[in-house]
Amino acid sequence: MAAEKEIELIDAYLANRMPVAERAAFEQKIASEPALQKEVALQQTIVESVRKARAAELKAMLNNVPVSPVGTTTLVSKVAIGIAVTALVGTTLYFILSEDNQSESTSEIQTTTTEVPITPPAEKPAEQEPVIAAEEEKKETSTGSTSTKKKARKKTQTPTAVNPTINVFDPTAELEEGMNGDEGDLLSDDDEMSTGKSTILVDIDSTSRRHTFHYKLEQDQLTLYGPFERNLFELLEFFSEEKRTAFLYYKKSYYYIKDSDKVTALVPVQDPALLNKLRKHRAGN
Amino acid sequence: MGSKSTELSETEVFDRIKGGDEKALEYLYKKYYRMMTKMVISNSGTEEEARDIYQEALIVFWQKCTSGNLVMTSKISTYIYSICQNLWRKELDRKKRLSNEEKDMPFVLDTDTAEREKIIARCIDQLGDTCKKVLMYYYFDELSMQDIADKLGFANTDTAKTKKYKCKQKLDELVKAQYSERDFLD
Repeated sequence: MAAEKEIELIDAYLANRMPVAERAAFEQKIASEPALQKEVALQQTIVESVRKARAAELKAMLNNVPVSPVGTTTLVSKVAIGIAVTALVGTTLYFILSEDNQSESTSEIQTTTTEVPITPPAEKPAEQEPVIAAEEEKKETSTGSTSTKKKARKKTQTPTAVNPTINVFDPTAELEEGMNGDEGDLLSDDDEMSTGKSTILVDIDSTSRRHTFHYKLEQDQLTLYGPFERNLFELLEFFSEEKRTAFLYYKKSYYYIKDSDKVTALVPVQDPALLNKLRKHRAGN
Repeated sequence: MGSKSTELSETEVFDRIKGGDEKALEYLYKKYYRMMTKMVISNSGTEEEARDIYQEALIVFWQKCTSGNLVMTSKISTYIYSICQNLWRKELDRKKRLSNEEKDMPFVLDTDTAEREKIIARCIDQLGDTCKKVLMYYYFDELSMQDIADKLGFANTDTAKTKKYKCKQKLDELVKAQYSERDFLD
């Protein structure tokens, strides 16, 4: 058994509490004394075991600290994922629901887009196609952040506007109805213009969102749909035997008015011969 | 330590750990768990290996702090991260060596050393809690006698010194008694 003084030195040496200078000298002593060497070896094993026991104790303590495994999500990321999923579901629902509304509003879009080009001289309905497409494109670009999906959906609707088959406003049919056919046959030289007061009562309806430059002549009641100015239109009536032919003069243009229970688009008369006749009659009246 | 959400400054954590505050170590462990274990996992380690490496790194950090052998010149996380990297590199080397040795030669187990360690561990277990703590704080944490006295509620450093001396003496006796029984001491 080593002496008490020696035990203290060994202890200080193994516990790293010996000054550097003493340490070197003590190491030399250990190397030269086999008995001391043996005791140091034993003490070293004991000290190392104490250290291992402490490390194991700390490890056990850390093992009891609750931590979420790396593979699983934290509460914050769970909340974030939850929000993202909700947003995704919400967006999807919005698009699904708005798709229904879209089909309703599509008819409105079609109405406005198709009716506008009718106002200027629109001779051929086919010419409206690019106009509609252009209008549609304009709407798309004006929305700015419209998704590709939305664009694709709108584009598929374009043919509906040109060739409407669903139960919405049919601009083509209306245009055809509004067309004056062979305008040259509308008035013959024998037709006489009414010189008296017109038998047709005129009413203006500017409340319709769908009909912006339309008319309906039913018996003697003419309804003009759109923002008409009351004192700027004239009615020209011609009689031949029992047949009445009526024209509307509005803002330097003549429009043929025919009896129908349907609301029809107003289409300006284009036939030069008929226009001449109408101008002559109007000037003579 | 305050509530779970209390954010401690680097200096505060470092000072607390230096004084042997185990709660500060738990705080650090939680704070950097994901960051450190991710490094091992993304370098072909399992989560279990990652946890082991991180715990070992923290214990190295703890020991360096408590023994006063560490002067912080970088962030705590940077320091711990570099310990993790070194430990994991060593572990990968060990694994590689082991797989090569398996091919070349049969594995030889040092039963004597293992047996001795087991005996000493049992002797340590036979000590009372205070004795165990005094010796652990002295040899592993390398706390000063003043810190040991403060932590264990001793009157002064002399009491701590006497306690440490007696505890060590008791452990030596237990170990030597076991060793002589098994003829390790010859």
